[in-house]
Amino acid sequence: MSGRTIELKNVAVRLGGVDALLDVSAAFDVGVVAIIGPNGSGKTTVLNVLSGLVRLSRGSASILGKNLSTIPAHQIARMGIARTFQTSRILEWTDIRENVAAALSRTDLGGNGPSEAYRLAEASLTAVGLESLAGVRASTLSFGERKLVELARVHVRKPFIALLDEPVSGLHPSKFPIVADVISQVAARGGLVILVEHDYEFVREVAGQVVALSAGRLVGSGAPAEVLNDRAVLASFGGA
Amino acid sequence: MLAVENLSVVRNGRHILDSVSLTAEGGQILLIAGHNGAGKSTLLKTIFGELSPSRGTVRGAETGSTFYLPQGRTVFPSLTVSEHQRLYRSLVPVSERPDTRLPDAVLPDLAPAGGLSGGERQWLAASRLNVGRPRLILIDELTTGLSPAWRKRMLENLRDATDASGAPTLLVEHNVRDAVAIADRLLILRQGRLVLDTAAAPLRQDTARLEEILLL
Repeated sequence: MSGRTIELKNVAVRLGGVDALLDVSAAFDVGVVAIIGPNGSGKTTVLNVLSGLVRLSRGSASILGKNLSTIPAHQIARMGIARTFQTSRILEWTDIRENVAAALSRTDLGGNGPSEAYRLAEASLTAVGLESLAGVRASTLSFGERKLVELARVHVRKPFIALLDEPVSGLHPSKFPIVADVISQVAARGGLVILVEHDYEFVREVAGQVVALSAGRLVGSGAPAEVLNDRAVLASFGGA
Repeated sequence: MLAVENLSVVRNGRHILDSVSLTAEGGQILLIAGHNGAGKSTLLKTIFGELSPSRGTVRGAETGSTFYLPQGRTVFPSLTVSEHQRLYRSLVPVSERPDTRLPDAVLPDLAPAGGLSGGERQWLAASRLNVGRPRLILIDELTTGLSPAWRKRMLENLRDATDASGAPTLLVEHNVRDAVAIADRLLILRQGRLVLDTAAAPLRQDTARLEEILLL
């Protein structure tokens, strides 16, 4: 294995005639990276690039030295990468234990069967504080509870790379430490977490590096205290 | 005026709302906060009529005159921003359309909504607030996914819309620290029960008290 965990070189993405990313270059090793920026600045698009969900119009993106354009999205997931979405995507018709167990791939299970999957799922539901709802049908959950189920789906896979899109938005502040714990567990295993977040207090608390995007360009990168206090960066966000 | 009395909702054996009573005067914003799963969204859905209560009554929520913004950024992916605005206006009787422009200048008119970011979709869905004169405003998360600057603008826009329409407003929101600036009262739901109903203005200065309340 050579090179950085994730490397973006001059990445440009055009979506529906709009430039979502323009010439973004960045590299990440391990730890916790937060992407901040105004609405529509390209934050989620970076996560979509890393999940193989959008095509680059220019530049290259690689994970562990492998060029992403050569790997289909489902195989990217098998490389130990897990992600959440802003609006949760869970299976409505099953209970939440099943929802979490279903996130485990055969590789994740390493030859173990369903009973091991359920045991791991229950441990992850405990980690996000939803153990009492394990048997509840997902369709009856609230928005915030669904986000925690998604987080459990990431937690259960013990991913090497976790991509989290606004993990605390829509959550009660009492749940923030749960999210911070899941994040730090990935980092503590020597992994990389990339999160998109508008809550700067949370970012200060969990991130070791902050990357600022504005109108599809990288406008700042560094320690949280540096970037979040950088007047030029905040000025580039304008009234947005 | 909105009057909710003894509202209870039981779904799949879960007691989601438990004897909730509240009243909201015209032009008042009630900020409703609480833990995830406390029953906040269920309260709005039941007042709107999307869910039937197991017990209790709602008065002052006549169909057709209620503005309800559900969670989940509901926009039409294939319609552009300006097509959404035309659609929003067409749903409101001409006599009830105010002359004000939508707070839309931030979004490109011709962009299909499907290509917008999550925060931009939220902005577009919420901009429907500026069309028509609702008699009741129900909002399930106004600022989720919005940047700090947009949060402030959207909350101020809600204050203006509430003042202009004279409608009672129920705002479910997790960004309580921001939203308390425009609210008249703060209500806390906990495990389906209303455990606090207090004036919002004193909490703008008394941040220690506000932090205490947020731990409820």
